[in-house]
Amino acid sequence: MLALLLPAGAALAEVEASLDLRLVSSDGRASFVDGGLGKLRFDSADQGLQLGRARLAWRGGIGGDWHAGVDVSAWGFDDRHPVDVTEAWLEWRPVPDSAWRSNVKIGAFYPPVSLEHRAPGWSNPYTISSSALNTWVGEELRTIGLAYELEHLGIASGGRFDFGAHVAIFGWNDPTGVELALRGFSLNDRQTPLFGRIGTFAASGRQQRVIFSEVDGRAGVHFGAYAKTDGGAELRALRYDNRGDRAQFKASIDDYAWNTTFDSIGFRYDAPGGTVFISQWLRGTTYASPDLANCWDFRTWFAMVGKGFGKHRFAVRYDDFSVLQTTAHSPPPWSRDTGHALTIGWNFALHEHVELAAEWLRINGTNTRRSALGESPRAVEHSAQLSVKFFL
Amino acid sequence: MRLVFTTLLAFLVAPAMAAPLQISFVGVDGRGIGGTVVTLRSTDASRPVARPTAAVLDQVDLRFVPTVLAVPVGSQIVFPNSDSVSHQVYSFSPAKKFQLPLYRGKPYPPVLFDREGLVTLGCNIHDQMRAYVYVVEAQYFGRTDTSGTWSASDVEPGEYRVEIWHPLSRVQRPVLEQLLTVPAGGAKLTLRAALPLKLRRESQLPANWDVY
Repeated sequence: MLALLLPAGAALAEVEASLDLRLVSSDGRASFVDGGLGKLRFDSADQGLQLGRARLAWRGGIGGDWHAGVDVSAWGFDDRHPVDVTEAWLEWRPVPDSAWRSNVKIGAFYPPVSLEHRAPGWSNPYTISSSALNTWVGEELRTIGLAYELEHLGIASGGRFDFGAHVAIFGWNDPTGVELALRGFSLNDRQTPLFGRIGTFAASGRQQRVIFSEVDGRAGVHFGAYAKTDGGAELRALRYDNRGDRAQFKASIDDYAWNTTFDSIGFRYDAPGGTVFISQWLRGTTYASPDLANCWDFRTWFAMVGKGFGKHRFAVRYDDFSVLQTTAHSPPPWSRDTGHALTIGWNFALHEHVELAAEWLRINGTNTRRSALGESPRAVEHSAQLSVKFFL
Repeated sequence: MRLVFTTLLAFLVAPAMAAPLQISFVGVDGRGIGGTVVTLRSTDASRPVARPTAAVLDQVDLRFVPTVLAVPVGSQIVFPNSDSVSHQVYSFSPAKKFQLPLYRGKPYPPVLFDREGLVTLGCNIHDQMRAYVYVVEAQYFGRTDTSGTWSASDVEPGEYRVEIWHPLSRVQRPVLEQLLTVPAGGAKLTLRAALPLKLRRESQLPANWDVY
């Protein structure tokens, strides 16, 4: 990481840059990135050398108790902007003078759902591809608004727990849910940029959709709480409702406001000896039309165990997911996307500025929409990736 | 008369006799407990306490180094940041409330710790960073080694109140307190915890496991 001393006001900032190159072997169906219903980012046409991610980020203090951050990434040339912003925020974070600490964050940033993404740039230090649950978070969720959090730092006061609660109001999340309804879950490492699009099932009429758009002028809300013990356990819960007004349509993105709600619970335990256990569960509903006629229930969970051995880290994760259409204008059978996945990851800190990672991923899923493409609904997709990541 | 005077002079001028002292602290299972802080306070209030020192508490790879520092009251500690990322060190402990606004390198003068007690340090940017400064007002103090033993070669004989505290203990007060008489010839003793010592776990994750 390159440290820069800004001239103005002696504010402190850091610039982070990284380049993640991949060697890919995949037998995946045509990827969602290209409008297919394959669940992998890299499909069987994407063998060999690929760009994983190129990232440039800036973060720092901007005076007083204010901090700011901007994260910019390139994921390849499959989006409308080759380089785009994934997060940009201002945070008021005063130093606590008692066990109670408040912070306010304004801008575009991730809701506190993932317990996997603890590395810079909302990246996953355990496996190259994220869980189905957190892949969806990266694809369709962003708090574009304001969040307030109140925490009690009990451990620093001699207690056994830290706990906190937050509430956020946000906009520009109205199409959220469309990807689950039309494509289903995926496991990958690509985040949808703020001004970008995401590949969607081609038979739906478009290959790319805008996710971060305001359609109905109505703010959404999410709120949640966490508790951490001094023994390394962490529990998180969050309730999300984008409060989409399903009657509203926006011609410029050719989409309605989808009304998406979900609950999520996560548990993480950092055990002695460098072992980490993470499990998250999420269940929700998305409605797509004013009369509630198109509705999908989605649920997913995963469990991951990771273990660090010096500069090596190993992780194994099992994912389970399903998206079931529960009502529709058309008669049944309705769309159904179900499956499970196994991911095995290895990570090696080769050098202060170079990290190696490898991953084997198998997704066994059934998506009834594949029939429209002339494919069999059931697909077992595999990918093996080797990543070389250079840090500034 | 000359002899008496000489003897008296020797008493007044020569430093008081120093005795070696070795204390081993063991748990209820008899195994030594390393990392505990041992303090000896004389019951004779007129005896001078340990003099303030200057100490360094660094920040390396998103950790405080060391994570526990015991210093006499009145000591000054400097908090350099050897990382390439900025830190914001703070404490809201009653014994010392302070903060060092976001910094790298060594931009701030040393911080004075002028009250006895436990000071828990944190970083407002990296919540996983934690360290403890134990500010003591005592004649002698130190930390037990991995076998649970602390020794001093120059303890003035007399009566002391011994306190033992562990930084990972879930209680922020001594886990053992008792009176001890150090004879002129020194002493070697083992103190046993009366109850199992419940220690919180220090993170053993590699520093790059969780960066933010």
